[in-house]
Amino acid sequence: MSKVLLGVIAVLISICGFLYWQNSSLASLNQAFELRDQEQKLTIETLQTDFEQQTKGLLDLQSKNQEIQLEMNRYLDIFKRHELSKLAAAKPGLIEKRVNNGTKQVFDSIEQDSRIIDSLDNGLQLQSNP
Amino acid sequence: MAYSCSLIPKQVDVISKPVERKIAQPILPREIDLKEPFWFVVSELNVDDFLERVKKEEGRIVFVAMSIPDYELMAYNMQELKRYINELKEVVVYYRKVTTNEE
Repeated sequence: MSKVLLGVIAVLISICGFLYWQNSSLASLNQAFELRDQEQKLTIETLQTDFEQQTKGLLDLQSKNQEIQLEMNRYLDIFKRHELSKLAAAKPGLIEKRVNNGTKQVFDSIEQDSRIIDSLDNGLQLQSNP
Repeated sequence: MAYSCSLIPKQVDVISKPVERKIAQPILPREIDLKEPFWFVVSELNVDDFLERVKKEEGRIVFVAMSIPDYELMAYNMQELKRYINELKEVVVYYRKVTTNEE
């Protein structure tokens, strides 16, 4: 009788031991999965943030480029609206002043454009070389 | 070796994780410094005065001439360069924004 009891106890201890081992192995596996899940969530969040930032940046870039193109068209419209040849033939002195003023304005605006990157970029100034 | 000795096979997980890179922003080139040429506008009305002026300033009659349509072309070219500079500048701003965490 006692031998049977001992046998049953031994079997029970073995089963308990196996279950304990399995439980601890599953617990560590679960921990690893949780960590992986956390990392993946973080990765997805980072990728989504980057994607949103880039999409916004590209849209801003597109609208800025349209503004720049419009500004160029506005300037070139001056030539379309006036017949410069006729005006220059009739009033060379007047056109000479306007042409030189126009050149100065365009050159100044190009210099200004190369000085400041963008007002949105926290007024970042380019480094001036002497 | 440790894995091969073990009776229970273990799984090795490979996880991809974005690494935060620190990108050094380069110093941008110095600003453009343009020198302005002087344009003479000459027609039949002032051609003699112009020639006299050139002779007086240069000592002889020599100049580079440009027709009005060519002047318009030059103006167009300047605007095209200005457009390119500005668009490229916006691209620089874009790259600065996406490579730094500043909003």
